[in-house]
Amino acid sequence: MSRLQRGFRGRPVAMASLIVLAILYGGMIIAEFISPYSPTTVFRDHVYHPPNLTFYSQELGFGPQIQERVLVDQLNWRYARVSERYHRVELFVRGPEYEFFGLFRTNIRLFGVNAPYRSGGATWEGGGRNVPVFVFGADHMGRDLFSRVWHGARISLTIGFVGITISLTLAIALGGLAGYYGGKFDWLVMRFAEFVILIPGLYLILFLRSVLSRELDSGQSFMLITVILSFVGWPGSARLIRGMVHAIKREDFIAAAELDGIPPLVIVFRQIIPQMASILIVSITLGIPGFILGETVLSYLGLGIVDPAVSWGSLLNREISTLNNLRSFPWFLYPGLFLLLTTLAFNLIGDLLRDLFDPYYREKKIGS
Amino acid sequence: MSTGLSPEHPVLEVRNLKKYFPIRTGVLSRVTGYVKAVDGVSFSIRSGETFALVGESGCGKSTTGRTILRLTGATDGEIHYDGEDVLAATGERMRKLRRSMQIVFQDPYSALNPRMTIGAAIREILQVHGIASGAAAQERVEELLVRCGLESYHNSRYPHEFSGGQRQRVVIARALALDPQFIVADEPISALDVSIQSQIINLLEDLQNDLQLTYLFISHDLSVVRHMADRVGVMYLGKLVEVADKDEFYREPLHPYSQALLSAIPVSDPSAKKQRIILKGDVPSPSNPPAGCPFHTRCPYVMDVCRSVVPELKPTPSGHYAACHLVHPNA
Repeated sequence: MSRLQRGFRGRPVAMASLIVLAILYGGMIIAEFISPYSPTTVFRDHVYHPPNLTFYSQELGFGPQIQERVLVDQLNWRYARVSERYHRVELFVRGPEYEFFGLFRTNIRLFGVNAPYRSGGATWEGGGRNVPVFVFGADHMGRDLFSRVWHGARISLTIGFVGITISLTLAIALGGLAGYYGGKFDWLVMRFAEFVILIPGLYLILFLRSVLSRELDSGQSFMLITVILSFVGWPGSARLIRGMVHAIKREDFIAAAELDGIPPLVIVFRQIIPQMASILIVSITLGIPGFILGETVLSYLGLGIVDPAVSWGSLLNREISTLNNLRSFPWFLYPGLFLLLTTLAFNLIGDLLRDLFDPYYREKKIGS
Repeated sequence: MSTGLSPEHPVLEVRNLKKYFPIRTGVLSRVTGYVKAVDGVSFSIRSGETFALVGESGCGKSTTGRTILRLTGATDGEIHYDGEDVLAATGERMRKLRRSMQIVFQDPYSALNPRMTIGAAIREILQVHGIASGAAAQERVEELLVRCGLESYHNSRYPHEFSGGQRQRVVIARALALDPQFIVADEPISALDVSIQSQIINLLEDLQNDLQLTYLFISHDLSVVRHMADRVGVMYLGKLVEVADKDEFYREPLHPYSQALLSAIPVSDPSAKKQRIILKGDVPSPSNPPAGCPFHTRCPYVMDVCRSVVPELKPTPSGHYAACHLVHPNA
């Protein structure tokens, strides 16, 4: 463990990646609390509203605040700032009600603006709504992109783990048994794996997605996408594992285990597979971004997560479908930024782990 | 578990054992030949004795040991252990056989699972065979370790925390976990430091005395064999060429190959006169062994008959077995 700690300390980039991932996964868990609104809350007067969070104005001085804007161009969704109408952004504001982990209902959100939507009207508590704060702007229905990014993280960030779990389980089971038993079973599994590898991944994904039912609720389509991506992902790792099992099963301690009458399945999964723990850890960290990106691609093409469920891919899907949109509303790239951060972080950590587990890699001596 | 056999009665009998490894070539992996690693070996081991198999590397002595334990299948031949047909045993009978036959490997570094504590590795064996579990298994593990010259607290250590000699002690402790009667010691000391070798040999001897073990001791070190063995078998190119009691073998080796081997043992007295027999040439390929006596290509006393007729392993009147036309001229 100390080697791992030293490795992270010696590489600030990997350390930063770890922190980024911790923030993203932590934020994903408490998404309702972090985001000022629910992902489906619609502000009808604020379609394509630009980000309005600023940190300075003459009226209020320094500090997080927003300036009210009013729609001036219905055609191009241009907004004009309303002078002298600033509101402070405050912490722990009462906003729309939500259920925290299904445990209790509350309406305290991390931040928000504590001013009624219309002057003299009711706030959230009174059944009305407050002046919205759009950290990342609003989408084509006037929904807060910041809130949607955090809620979308739930699907985008978990699909990596679920997907790698399924595909690695398949790879370990098939690759491990093929490597250990050899012979016809080995031949069959490996030819099948090569067949799957042979088909261009994206077409296989699209084919499977279109063959399998279209009318799915969000939970079902989440599972379906994960299974499809795992199916495309297992052969590579299965081949790797099979090769290593082949090498390890010739070690004397495996012969000793066979001699002791330990059942073959116990030998494979308790004696052989643990020998490659380091390689498996690396392939997990390097494999997760693939699943996240796979989901994004599917959702971007409209075959993945669809409304009302949110994922980063589905957020990118509609909004940046035309260059014109992108030019007028550049804040729609924020989900892409999150995607970039996540995949980069996983890759950087995977790189570090690979170096640490590589017997030929020498630790750079830091300090003493 | 007493075998109920008299010391004269063989506990292990190997008859005409053959192990051929196919050579596959080409895209279609057609079998184009065989490496005859073990080619018609017969011997028997009496209960409680140490039978040593000697020979240079590649002569098939390790393969013989592994085939007896069924770590690799045999091509042909018969193996009987304690009246049981080893090659035909399946299921429950195989499990019983496995409990009584064990192996000590040459390389203590690859013989232990690096990711398991040695306690966990031995406990697993005990559990699989339903011998002991929980506290009883733990007790048994510690007893085994102490018996093999380690400390009981070593059971929670990983293999990399041990030295080579200690590892070999662990390997022996694991082999003893199932209370075997017969142990194949496959060059158990040749990977060890010279200073450690004698400790392991003494341990093996003590265990043999305490537990009435039978050893098949595979080695290429003739001075160790002289110390350990009761009887010696010499292998050359997959065949046994000589089998004799130890004293007889060292006093008067009959086969020219054995004579050459013995003459190569270094002597501690530098002034002693000694004639060394230097063999010419290399060991022929086991995939294409020479016709007749396998040793005729290097034998200093080669005769015409050696090139065509395979000599049989036959006893002299004194019970000294040798496969050589010099010893049995009328064969």
